[in-house]
Amino acid sequence: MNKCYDLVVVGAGPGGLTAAVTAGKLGLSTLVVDEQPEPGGQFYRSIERNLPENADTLGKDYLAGKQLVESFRASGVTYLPNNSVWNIDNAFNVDLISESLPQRVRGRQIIFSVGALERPVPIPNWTLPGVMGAAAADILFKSADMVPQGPVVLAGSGPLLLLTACHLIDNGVKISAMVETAGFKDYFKALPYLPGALCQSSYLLKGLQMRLKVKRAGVPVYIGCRDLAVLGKHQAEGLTFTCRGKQEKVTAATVLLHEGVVPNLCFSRLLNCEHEWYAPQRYWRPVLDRWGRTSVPGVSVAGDAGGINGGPVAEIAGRLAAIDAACKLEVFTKAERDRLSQPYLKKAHRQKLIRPFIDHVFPPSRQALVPPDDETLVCRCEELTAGQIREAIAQGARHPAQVKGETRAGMGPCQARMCGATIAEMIAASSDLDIKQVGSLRVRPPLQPLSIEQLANMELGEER
Amino acid sequence: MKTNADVIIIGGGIIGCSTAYYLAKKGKTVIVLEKGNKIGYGGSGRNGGGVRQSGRDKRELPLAMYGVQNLWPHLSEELGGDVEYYQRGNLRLGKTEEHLKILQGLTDVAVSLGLDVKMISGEEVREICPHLSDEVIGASWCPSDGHANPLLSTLAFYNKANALGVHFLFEQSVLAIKKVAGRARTVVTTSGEFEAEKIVLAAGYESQAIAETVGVEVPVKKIALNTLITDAQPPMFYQMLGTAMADFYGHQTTHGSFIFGAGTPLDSEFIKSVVNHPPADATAATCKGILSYIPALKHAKVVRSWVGFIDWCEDKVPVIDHVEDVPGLILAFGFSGHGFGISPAVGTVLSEMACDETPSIDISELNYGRFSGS
Repeated sequence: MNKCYDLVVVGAGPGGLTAAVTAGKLGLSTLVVDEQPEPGGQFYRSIERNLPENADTLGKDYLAGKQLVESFRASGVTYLPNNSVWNIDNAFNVDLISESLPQRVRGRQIIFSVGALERPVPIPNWTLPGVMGAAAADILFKSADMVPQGPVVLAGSGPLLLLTACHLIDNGVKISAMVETAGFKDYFKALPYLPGALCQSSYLLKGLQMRLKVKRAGVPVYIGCRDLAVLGKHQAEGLTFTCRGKQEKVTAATVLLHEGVVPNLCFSRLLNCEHEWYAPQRYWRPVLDRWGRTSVPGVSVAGDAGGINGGPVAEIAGRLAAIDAACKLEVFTKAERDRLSQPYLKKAHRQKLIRPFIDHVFPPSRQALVPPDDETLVCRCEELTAGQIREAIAQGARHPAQVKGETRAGMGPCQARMCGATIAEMIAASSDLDIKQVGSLRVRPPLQPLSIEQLANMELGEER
Repeated sequence: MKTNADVIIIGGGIIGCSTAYYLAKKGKTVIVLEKGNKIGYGGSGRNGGGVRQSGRDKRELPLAMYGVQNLWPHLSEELGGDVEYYQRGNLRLGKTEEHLKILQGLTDVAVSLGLDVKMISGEEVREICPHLSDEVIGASWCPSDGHANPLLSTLAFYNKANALGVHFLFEQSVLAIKKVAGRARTVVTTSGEFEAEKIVLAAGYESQAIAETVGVEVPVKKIALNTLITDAQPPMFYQMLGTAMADFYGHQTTHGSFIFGAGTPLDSEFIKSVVNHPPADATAATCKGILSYIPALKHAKVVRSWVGFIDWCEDKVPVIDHVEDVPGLILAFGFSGHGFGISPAVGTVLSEMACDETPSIDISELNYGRFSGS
């Protein structure tokens, strides 16, 4: 018999941990499955063992995770670290794979709290050694106390770019430039959202403080940049770009690219949840109600996987989804759920007020969405360039699945997590179709490659 | 938007695309109405790519043999796109005496119809394909069989038809076929009406609901099958493989990956309930089969698995016929999971039928009347 839990939570970041702690308190038998060896997700990555000397750099927001992880450890909730979910079926059988044995568990309710992914930034030479995502670099710092080799150039758009810059400055890494693709016109566009943002002035203040820090460190900042290209043949050597009509060149040993983060949709897509297009940041997100319920009964999403709102909002969302799960499992009535969740619904609403402003100030750059030149690699798994994708579109492909059929784009092990959005944007850009009509590639099991032997030897209970 | 043509084809799968191509080549104007927003969304984009003659029902064998002799060998050249056709033979494997008996039966029928298929021993099997397990004690061997890439084949027909001026209209969900003066003449979709002299119904498992609107009934049902694909392996063999019990079939592709399909239908109701992915136990069962026949593939990684729905006809062969009571309507569905290999031949025949020519391949036993006899 497979173990059956009232609630299976996928992901042990701020949303998943809060959901688990809440569910445990409400008396639900709860399992948390997570790929990482320790709780915290990306937001609170390695929170339990971070060095005290990094505390100032990582800041208050990060350290707040310590308490959450402690209460999670004390909650008595079942926790399976180092486990990946590779399939979930219609009966909510959840198939797990780890270094030891594969196993199957079942959940009566499921909460996905699987966070965000850094948006790929397909610019010329983005696949050279020495180029990495800014958020990825920050995770290396949190988890392994490693910083990239300087001088570093940071390029792109988004609050994480600034945050990473500050962490690098604190670690004494030389930054040769900040090359921002967002410009003044984006600030103008964001102005209507400023009043809402002022309700969350601590965020704005934090943003200004980060700006000030970069300025004090003497980092040259270019804004409204276009035509970004990584320099180098075998290794990144710097970045070229155009700023105010002038071609610029910055040398660097490491290039950190970032154009924001997007929801990790692999589970909501796997389960065919309904999705909606979020235009300001140009990404899809599952359609959720106030408690995080998706269109599929029994499946909820908490945190950035449902739309980017950051760690603190994810924690509230995790709590709400767990309260709602208890209600669905008839632990208490809807009226009781509404009473219990009222303060958190209010808090979530307040915390989200900053988002429209941030999302308009830092839009993803056009270049990162639709690579203008033909040589830039789009599908890394199958090594396909923008030119090859464009050729398939010119032949009449109006859906990513058709581009996939023609070119193999998206057929690699990552299942189009890297190239899917770019292909859709390229189709929309060169046809009469709106991006919302273009559609997306299906996510298929196994969510990560498994060998024929592993699959053949799996003991799968018959539980339907 | 064009609303009339010589021929309307309902369904943008490989049958629809190949028929459209052969009709355009004959100078006909053609509209293809596709329900989805892409080509080959149904079985055409999800099958295992077999181009087999061996193991086929004798009623559709003439189509399979015609295609292998006359169409597949030069299809890539003709369509201007590589369809990755390999003619390296088909091994249908047996592990027990019981299996060999089944294979012998299939072989005898095919031989009587002139197919170059024979039974071979386990040793001979491993001479042809050294990667097969010692548990294999014999097989049927048809050297002129092979496989092709279903996605590329479907898209090659589509691209060429497109270039020849065929109008492909997407998101055209067909509501009904309407008769005018006793003839099938109008196709009503969610976005309008289309008119033609001839209407070819090739919409896979969606066909029967449309056929019903003019009183046509073919005993087909929707069945779910699972398929999987591995990461690229070094070149190993290019034969098409199957088994006596049809537990799985598959081959290595040009890319290096292996594609395998299962022969055991899945529980359709369960599959449809939320997600239409193969349940883990179905994938595991397929992998068990693969491992027991091709142990060398044990470390190959499965990167994707999917479900395809097929139009399963009661007697396992399609209906390819005019309908007496509904002149102007041509049926082409019920391919029962083995339509891909015969699709160029079927397209050829359908293009002839739509032009009121006598089909150059014998399809008499695929008639519609066979269901009304009882």
